[in-house]
Amino acid sequence: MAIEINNLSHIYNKETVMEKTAVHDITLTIQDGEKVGIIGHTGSGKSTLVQHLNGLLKPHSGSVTVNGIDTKSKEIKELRKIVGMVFQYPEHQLFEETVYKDIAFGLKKQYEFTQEEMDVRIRAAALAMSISDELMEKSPFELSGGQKRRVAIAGVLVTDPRILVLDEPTAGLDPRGRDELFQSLEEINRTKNTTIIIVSHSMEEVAGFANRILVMNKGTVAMDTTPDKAFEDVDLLESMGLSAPQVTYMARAISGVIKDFPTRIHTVEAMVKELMKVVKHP
Amino acid sequence: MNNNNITMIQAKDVYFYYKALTEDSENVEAINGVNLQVKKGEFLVLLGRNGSGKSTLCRLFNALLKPKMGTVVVNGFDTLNEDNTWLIRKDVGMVFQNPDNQIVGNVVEEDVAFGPENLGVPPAEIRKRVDQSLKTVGMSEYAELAPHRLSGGQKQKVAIAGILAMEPECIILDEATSMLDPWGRKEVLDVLLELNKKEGITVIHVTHHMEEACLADRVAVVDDGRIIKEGSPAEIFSDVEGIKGMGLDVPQVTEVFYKLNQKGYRFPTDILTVEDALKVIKEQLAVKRIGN
Repeated sequence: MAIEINNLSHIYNKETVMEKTAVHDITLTIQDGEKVGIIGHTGSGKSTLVQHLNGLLKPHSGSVTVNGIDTKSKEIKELRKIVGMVFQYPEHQLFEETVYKDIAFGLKKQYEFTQEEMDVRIRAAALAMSISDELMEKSPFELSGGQKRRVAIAGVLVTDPRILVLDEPTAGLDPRGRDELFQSLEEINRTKNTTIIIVSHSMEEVAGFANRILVMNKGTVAMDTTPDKAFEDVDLLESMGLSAPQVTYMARAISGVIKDFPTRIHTVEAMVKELMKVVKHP
Repeated sequence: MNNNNITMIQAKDVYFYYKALTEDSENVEAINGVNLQVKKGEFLVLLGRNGSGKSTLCRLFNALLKPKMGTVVVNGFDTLNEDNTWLIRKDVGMVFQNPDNQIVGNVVEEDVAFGPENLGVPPAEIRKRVDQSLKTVGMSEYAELAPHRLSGGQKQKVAIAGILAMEPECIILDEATSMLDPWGRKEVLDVLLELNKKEGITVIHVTHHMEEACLADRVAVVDDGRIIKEGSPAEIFSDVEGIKGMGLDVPQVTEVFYKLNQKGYRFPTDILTVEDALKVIKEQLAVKRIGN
């Protein structure tokens, strides 16, 4: 059971003067339980790629199969139970009177659950996103930006998707909100083996979370690698409109004055460790 | 005393709340006694958590919102006086977070002309201002394109050009870079620095990116509707525990030296950039050689 993408191409405005190939000849497999970061600049094709995963877009050539279901087949309802999609700024889609009702919405419309079964699922989704009981009866519009974002994600989690796709989930969140969100996602992945796919233009942010990085450029997968290796060639990243963490640039600068100083560093902790080796303790 | 020639915005004991949505809920306090002076030509960054009051403050600065108590005076005009509203909005332009929500024209140059048209600027003058504004943000070659064909960073630059065409003295950016990719952010920041340094335009920039905050002349930290700290980026970020305790972050380079100091090293606490870092490392190496 996995996501299988074979020779996928998608063209917007096909056969018009505005024709534009958004993704071109992509082949890749994502296994259950992977934590994948899909990174690329605006217009690199990353959103187009993930919108194929739940059948919002259909391949113009090639195929996308999720847990054995071809996204071109008629089993679209089943497919969307498997793949939960969190769009950019999902809190703009909150609308119910209370947080509880908003999270419940996805269940009510799709499934035949008893009241008790629904309640269990709603509270589990809220817990997974660290939404406290006291918030449940509040209006979603009274919450802070970070809280709203978590409620909106809980509204997708409530249907218990095996694959969770999030498009720019941290945009506009403050640093703590961002860290808490990643912790929640980490926990969901660990306890339920849910596949988590994050779309982002910040390699730095996703590198700490993902165990696999796909870099998109001009509609193709330019790199399929681990976070550690992704920062090896900073010049290549920059040529694709991306950037490396500040400590990576720092490592490069230091390697100019200290011979053999490692340049692959991408976390604060690694930099501290390396500096302690070369700088004399007082 | 008249200090209007140096003060762009003066906020005095400002309070603001949002009215309750329903009868049984309470008003939401947003600003709880803010005093802040923004000087002309200054590059000020506002930092703060989600919900701390940064956006409300920005809206009080160009009369989109009026204080419930206290006063906001913009370029000598009190925002509470309705007659001043248009003068203030001409002086202080605002760029919002989502580029797609603030473009009104079907063609880039039409969009840029929208502001001056509404101010009643004569057509020949509009033409001149639109061309100049697009040139300033580096978007002249896109003048006749449809805005939806631009990238996020390009759209934000068009939004900035639209404000420049009104010849403002101050631009406020409310998380205008948070939806942009690294290039887009750099494009916008480069334009802002250029406007600030060369044209002397006052910039107030709200951001969650600490590396952007390091470019400011001054940083003000907003928490719970109050300004709890003000200072140079170096002063603000040298308090690593305080900033992190508020749910914010410091530049990675600053954190590296903070962690080294916790292990007994004695590095300066105001290292913000890769250049700063390289300088202190070089100094250390020099000491080491002499020591040996």
